[in-house]
Amino acid sequence: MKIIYHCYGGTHSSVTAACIHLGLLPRDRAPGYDELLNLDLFDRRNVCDIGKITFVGRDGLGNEIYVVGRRSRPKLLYNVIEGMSRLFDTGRDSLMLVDVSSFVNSSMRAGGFLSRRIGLVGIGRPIVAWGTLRNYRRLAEAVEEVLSILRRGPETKDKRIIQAGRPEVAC
Amino acid sequence: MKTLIIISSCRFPLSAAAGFILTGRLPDRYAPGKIWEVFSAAALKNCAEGRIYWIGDTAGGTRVAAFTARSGRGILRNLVSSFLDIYQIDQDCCSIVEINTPSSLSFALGQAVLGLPLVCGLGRILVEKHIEKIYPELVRSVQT
Repeated sequence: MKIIYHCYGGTHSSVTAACIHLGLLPRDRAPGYDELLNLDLFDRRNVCDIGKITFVGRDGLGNEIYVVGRRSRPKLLYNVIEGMSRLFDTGRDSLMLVDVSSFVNSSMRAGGFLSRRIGLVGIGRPIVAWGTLRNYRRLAEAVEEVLSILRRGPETKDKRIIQAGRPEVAC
Repeated sequence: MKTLIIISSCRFPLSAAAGFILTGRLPDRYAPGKIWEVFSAAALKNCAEGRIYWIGDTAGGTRVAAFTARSGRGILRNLVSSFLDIYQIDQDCCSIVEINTPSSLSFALGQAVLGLPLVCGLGRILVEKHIEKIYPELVRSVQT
C-alpha cells in the first residue's frame, strides 16, 4: 500500500510523520534538533514542489511512504487522487492519505513562512524545528494510530485518514 | 489504450471544454451557446476543484479525461504527473496537456458569479465572451 502524508507545504509535519513512520525518528521520545534538521526533506522543499508526491521510504510492512504539500486545499488532493485512481484503475485499497496538517502550530507556520516563503532560513528553520518538537508527541501518536490501522487492516473511521475510494464523478 | 489528461488552472473547466472539442462534442469553430449544451449550470455549480471530468474517447481511440483547479502554481500538474510516477504508469501511454490560455478580469468575474442564482446569467455572458476569444487557442492546444 502507498501511504501519503500530506500537509500545507509537505516539508515539515508530513516529513516528520513520514520519518516517524519509517523509524528514521524515534516514536517513544522527542528527537534532538540535529536529528530533525538532518532529515533530507525537512524544511527543504520549495513552492514549486507543492503537489509533488515524493517518495520517502519503505516501511517494515512493505508499504511505500510518500509526502505531499497541497496548500490549504485537501479536497483538491483527494479529488485528483480519486480521479486518477479511477482513470487508471489502481485499486481501491492501494493508497491511503493521511492528513497531518492539524498538527501544525503557530511556531511551525511562522518558521515555515520565514524559511520557505521569504528565504530567511537561518531564522525560520530553528523556529519551525522548535514548533515541530513541541507537537512531536501528538504526531508520533497519530503515526502510531496509522501503523495500528495498517496492522489491523485498512478500514477506519478516523477523520484525519482518508482512503482514495470510488466517489461520484462530475459530468 | 492511450490516455490524454487535460488540465487547466481556473474555476471554469476549460480543460474539459478543450476535451469536448477534441472528441467532437464541441465544434472546431466557435458556435454561440454551444458551450452550455455540454456544461449545465448545476454541474458547474457543484463541481469541486480537482474532480475528474470524463470526456470520452477520440476517433483514434484515445481516452480523454480533464481536471481543473483554480490557480495554484502548478499544484495540479505536479499532482497528476507525480501520481503517474508513483504508479509507474508509462508516460508514452499517457500524455498531459495543460491549457495555458491567458485569463482576463471579465473571465474571473464571470467565473465568480456563475454559481450565484441572481447573476448567473451575467456570469454566463462573461465566461462565454472569454471562451469565444480563446476558442482558437483551445482548439490548437489539444490538436497539436
